[in-house]
Amino acid sequence: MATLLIVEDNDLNRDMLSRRLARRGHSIVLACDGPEGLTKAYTTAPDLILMDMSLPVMDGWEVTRRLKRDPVTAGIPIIALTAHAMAEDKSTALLAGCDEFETKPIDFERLIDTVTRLLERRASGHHAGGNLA
Amino acid sequence: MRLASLAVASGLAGICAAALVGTWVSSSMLRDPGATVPSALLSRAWPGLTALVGLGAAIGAWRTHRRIAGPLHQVSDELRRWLSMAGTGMADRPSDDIDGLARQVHTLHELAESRAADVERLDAALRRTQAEFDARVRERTRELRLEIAERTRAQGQLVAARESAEAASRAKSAFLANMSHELRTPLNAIIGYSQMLMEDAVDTSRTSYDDLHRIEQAGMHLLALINDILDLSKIEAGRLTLQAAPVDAHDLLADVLSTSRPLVERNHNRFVVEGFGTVGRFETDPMRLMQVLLNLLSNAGKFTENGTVTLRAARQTGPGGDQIVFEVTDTGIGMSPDQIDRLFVEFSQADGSTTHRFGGTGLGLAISQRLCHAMDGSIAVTSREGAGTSFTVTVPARLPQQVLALASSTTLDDTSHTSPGATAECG
Ligand SMILES: Nc1ncnc2c1ncn2[C@@H]1O[C@H](COP(=O)(O)OP(=O)(O)O)[C@@H](O)[C@H]1O
Ligand SMILES: [Mg+2]
Repeated sequence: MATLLIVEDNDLNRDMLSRRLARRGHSIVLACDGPEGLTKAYTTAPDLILMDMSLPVMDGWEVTRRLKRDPVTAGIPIIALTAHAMAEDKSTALLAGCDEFETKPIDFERLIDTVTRLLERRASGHHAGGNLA
Repeated sequence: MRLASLAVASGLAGICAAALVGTWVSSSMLRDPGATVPSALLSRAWPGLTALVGLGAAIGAWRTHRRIAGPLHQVSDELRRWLSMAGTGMADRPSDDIDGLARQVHTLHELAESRAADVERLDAALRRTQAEFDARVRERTRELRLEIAERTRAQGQLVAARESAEAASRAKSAFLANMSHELRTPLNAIIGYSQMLMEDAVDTSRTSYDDLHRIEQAGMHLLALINDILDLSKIEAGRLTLQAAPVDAHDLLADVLSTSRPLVERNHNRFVVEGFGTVGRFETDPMRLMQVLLNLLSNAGKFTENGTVTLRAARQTGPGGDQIVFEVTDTGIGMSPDQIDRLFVEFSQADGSTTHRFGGTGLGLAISQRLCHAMDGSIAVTSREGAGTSFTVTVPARLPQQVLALASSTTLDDTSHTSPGATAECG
């Protein structure tokens, strides 16, 4: 199955999300802040990244921008996870290069659908650029 | 002295003069004996000559009179006219003599002088008035300047007040967004963990499954509250998104039914739908209209047992314009007049036990009403305790342009409604 990188600073949410995704057969890599997420994106080459947007040290938007700027990592689909329900969050996330956007509390089944869709799209050779970028 | 007598006198004087001249000539001829025949002839013709000279003098005098007295008369008439115009008593008196003329001229002169004095007085008065006027204008200008300054200041204060109100509203929105963020983060964990445990417990322990279900429901309820509060604050901050789209009544009905059927039928209610076939196409914000209808249908289903919930639609074209009317009628518990009064107020559930028994946030109708108003429509209710309730929603068949213009500055969107909590209050 696929390797998913979860970048999330909240311990409970990181733990809960990683365990639920692991149950669905994915191997999970964890990062607790922006810089760690950036590093692990290079060292573990995940198939997909779930990125919390409000992260300490370097926020999810910045990490996303950097990953999407580098041809090495630009192809990794990124799903933005935010606790906001603001339109500007969504557009900022998509502009930063995120491929999808989910609001917390996460609708888990919908998240699974999105993950599956993005993984399939990637496998079929589509370049995973930002939707709006 | 009369002018006529002047003429007569000058005529007589002429005759006398002629006689004198004749006498002088003839006597000088008599004194001169050497005078020639013509002198004798002259002395013989003397009386006739005298008469001729006298006649000439009389004619001359008459013509002189005509030349002098005529214009003098004209002058006198003119003077009289002026004097009468000036309103002096002199105008009536004849002024055929030179004295009269002199008097008239004198009077006129006095009159002219007094008029000149009058003019000077008037001039002075005018100058005074002018000065007063100028002073008043200056005073008024000063007053107006003060007034303008005062108004500008008042306007400045208004603008400042509005800006601070807007800032407060922005701060409130930001606060709510942040609060919603803070609340959602732990909620995410609560709902996520309970769902995960439910996946485990479904086969092992019935009671722990039920308990977990309660935790999940409480989480969902909390989420519904957060979403509703966020919605309400969006509306109150004037940041409600309205997105007009063409709507086909059939499609709308299909969407409404797919979500509301389980909510309506849960208490063994019959769900009846009427009239959608006659409505056709119209333009509104379908998401917002759905939100209102779903809330009404969810309420109807929630407060009705073994009854009927009817959703009716109709198009009304009349003096009120082209309108779509939706009616949600149930045969449920109904409401007391007291309850109806508080219905559209935030957090106004019938009583404290409602949340416990039926769930819900008590915000659904407050939001529905604001949404209807935002769409330039209305919502009304009729209800009788124990006999059922009927809500009527009327929306224009086209969203007015100004409603959309107002909404275009919006920055909040509907993501809160796509989360699992959208139907949580009904679970
Ligand atoms: N169809 C209905 N029949 C009886 N009571 C109703 C009906 N609809 C609304 N109410 C009353 O109005 C209250 C407020 O409704 P609402 O604003 O939708 O909040 P909520 O549904 O979240 O409680 C309800 O709690 C209920 O007491
Ligand atoms: Mg309700």
